[in-house]
Amino acid sequence: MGKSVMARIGLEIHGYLAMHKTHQKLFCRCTVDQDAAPNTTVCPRCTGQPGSKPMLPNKEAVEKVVTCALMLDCSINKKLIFQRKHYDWPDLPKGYQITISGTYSHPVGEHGKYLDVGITECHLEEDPARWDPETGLVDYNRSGYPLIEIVTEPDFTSAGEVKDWLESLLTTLSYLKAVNKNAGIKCDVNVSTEHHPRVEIKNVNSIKTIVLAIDGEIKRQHEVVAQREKVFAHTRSPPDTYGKTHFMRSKETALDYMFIPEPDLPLIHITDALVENIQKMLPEKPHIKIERYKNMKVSATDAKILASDLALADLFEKLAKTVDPLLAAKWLRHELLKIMNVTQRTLQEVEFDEKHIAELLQMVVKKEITDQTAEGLLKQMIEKSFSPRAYVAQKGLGIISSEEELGKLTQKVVSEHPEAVKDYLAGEEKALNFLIGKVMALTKGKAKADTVKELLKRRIC
Amino acid sequence: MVTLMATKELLTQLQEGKLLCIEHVNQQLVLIKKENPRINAFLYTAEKEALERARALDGKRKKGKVGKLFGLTVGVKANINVIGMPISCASKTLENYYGTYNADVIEKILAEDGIIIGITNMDEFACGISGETSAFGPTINPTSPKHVPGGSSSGSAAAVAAGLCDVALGSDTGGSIRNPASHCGIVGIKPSYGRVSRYGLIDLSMSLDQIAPCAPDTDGCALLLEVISGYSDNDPMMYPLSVPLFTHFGKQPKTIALSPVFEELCKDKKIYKIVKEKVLDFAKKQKLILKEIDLKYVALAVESYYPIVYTEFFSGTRKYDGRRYGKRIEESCKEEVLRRIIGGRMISCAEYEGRYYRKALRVRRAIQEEFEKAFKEVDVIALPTTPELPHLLRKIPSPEASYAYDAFTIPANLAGICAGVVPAGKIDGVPVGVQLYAGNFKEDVLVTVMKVMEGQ
Repeated sequence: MGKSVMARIGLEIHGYLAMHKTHQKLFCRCTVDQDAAPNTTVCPRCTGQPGSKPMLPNKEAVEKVVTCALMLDCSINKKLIFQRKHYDWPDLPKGYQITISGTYSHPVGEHGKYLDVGITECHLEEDPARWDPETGLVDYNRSGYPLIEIVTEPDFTSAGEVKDWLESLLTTLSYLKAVNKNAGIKCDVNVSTEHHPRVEIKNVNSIKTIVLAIDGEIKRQHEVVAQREKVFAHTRSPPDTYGKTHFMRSKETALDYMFIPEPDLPLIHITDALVENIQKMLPEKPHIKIERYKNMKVSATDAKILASDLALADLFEKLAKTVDPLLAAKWLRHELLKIMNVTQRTLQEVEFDEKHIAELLQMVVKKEITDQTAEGLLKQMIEKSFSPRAYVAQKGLGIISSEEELGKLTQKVVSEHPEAVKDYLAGEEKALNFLIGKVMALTKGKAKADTVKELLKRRIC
Repeated sequence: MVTLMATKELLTQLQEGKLLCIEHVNQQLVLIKKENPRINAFLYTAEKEALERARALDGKRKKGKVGKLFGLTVGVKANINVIGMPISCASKTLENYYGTYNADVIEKILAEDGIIIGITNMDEFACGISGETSAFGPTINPTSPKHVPGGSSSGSAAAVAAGLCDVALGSDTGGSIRNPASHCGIVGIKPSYGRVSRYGLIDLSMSLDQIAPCAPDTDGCALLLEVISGYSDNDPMMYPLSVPLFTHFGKQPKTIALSPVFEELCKDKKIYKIVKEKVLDFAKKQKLILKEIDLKYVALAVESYYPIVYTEFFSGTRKYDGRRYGKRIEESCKEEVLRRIIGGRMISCAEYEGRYYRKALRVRRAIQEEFEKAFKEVDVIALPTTPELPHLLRKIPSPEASYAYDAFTIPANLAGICAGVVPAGKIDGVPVGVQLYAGNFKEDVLVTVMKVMEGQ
């Protein structure tokens, strides 16, 4: 390609709302459980039995969507009108889906902005059942799961922008504990190049595939134009195993969903008090945190990693009040995350008393313990938080800084390893490291390597 | 023609054990076997279930306190879910559907010791005014066999009138309990929208449907209404209101009104004459203030009702796609149901965005407001139930004429208010019921007026 192609890209993002409090579906009390045996978490409502009616929408789900919408700087509609979206498909027990999207709807939130990308609207809907086209079997467990849909303006110009933005969005949503990460997201991607009509790619389900789909579509539209053909508005399937999308339907055969306001549900009022309360509880956005951390002289990489997890960010911010932010960043980003990785734990599972960690880091700063001792303590504190100072005193883990004590040990090592001493004197730096290691081993890591090095040098020379 | 025992007397006999439940059910089952082949009121007789329950209730009575409906047999319209019974909506579409759960009203009836004795015939999916659109044959009017019994709750009204059950449940979307109650000479009540849980009632038009009781007398009807009323979070269109004891008949009205618009719309002036005389007599004897009230928008009721019904019915029937309940509705239903589905599809198409359904909802709002205003001035409004006498069996009128037949009952559904019918007299042997409207959730006033008027 000679010149770069001008593209406008918009997204419709669907995610499963995480129901931490109620663990219930949107319009019935059935349990939300991704792992339940097929058709075990069902009732007359979510299977669409004749005569069944929805219950009032799950309050937690409504509040979660309002929370997300506020986080994306949307204005909140105070009156929610649910709609029936009709279509004929084996996964749809009632023949329609209850949603707040559609012709006459007032979305939960609209006119928002997140990282310079316009948010058209944010709304709530129920998931259909799971239908297996191979066997024809339908599992209604999923029917009625609460879904959030976030629609953006076509403000992206490249797949790279979409990727960065989506990653940040997912971090933000994870701050709110709003979206079930394990269940993943699904996107409909709209791509329009050089003012040609837009083409929609349906049901793309990972960031990697979204990037693939966008790049592929920009290229495809470019090729269509190069062959002097017209780009027409239509819908394409998600990329197949070869990364290719395929024609699904044209705009002319677009489905008519025949939206009507849901007669079985009343208008749902969102009170000012609710909006105010949620607004107060909103966490700071990740990109603002990152900027703030960078202002504390934390490196960009560290700042980004610290802000990627709200629990980690919270811990960092608490620690930075009493210890040097750089030291806190280093210890959390490198040591703590390493231990978490090794032990396969998440911060949410660990109950830290941040005072204990602050105490630990202060002991490091004041050289009361060595880095090595501190690491060992941190590993133990993950299991159960305790005061490191008391523990160090009790177990005698404090740093050995007495020259007399260390002198004895260096003397011992030097006399036991005359070969190494000889090598060092002959110019082999490595030999000195060997001797340092021997002294450190004798102190069980409680001495500072620098001090030991100085003492050894003095003794040998 | 059987003479029906007054509900109160029957209930006393059952509660005191003078009549055992098992005897009562047995007698009624004999009657059903004899009469039902002719009347076709029941589509299914719950013989085994009813006998079992009657025995259990007789045992319960010996042990102590019994429920409000103790031993009374209840007929249930074929669009209300009862576990294990065929809930076909009198349609081939749902011919093989058996209730998988109990409607809220069924749970309440069972809790008060009622006995479900059978599932009653109806117009297919409640689309009809005569009982003749049933896929399983028309119901015969026991009181006036040459004329249709009315509909769509034809079987429930006919079963009560013939003494095949003591009380019955129907549903009322545009007059479906009141119209057959009037034609069969019994009592029926359409509760205020949101008074009775719709959970388990198969949809005709969700924003208008109410489950509705009928009985030989106001005592029975008020009793059944009292039992089935009350908030349930299974129906999100309900309000958490307390339910007055309707059977105490304590709420005396001060004013009653007639409206010239109904007199004008009443095609058979003999009907209006009966109604008017009944009301004048009542007002005089009860020393009520008689008012005349002007209602502008009720003349638009039929025109705004059908777009709403078509649209909501189309939506509600999308689940009968042939994947789950045997047959695809479009391929298995009769003409009137198909007409409404096709009409509903056309109205719902994006092409017609909001031109019909939403406009109709606006007219409905105007009618609602008109009645809100009216009931600030009067307690009850009296009017005929239908503008004409029921047609002769199998002389099916045109769809337009059928639709216009509901002109006096539809306004109550559009306004969401409660309405009831009690027998007022007969014309050429055909029963005529007087209809009463009362304000939203004013069933206590309504039943009090009905009770007094019935006794006169």
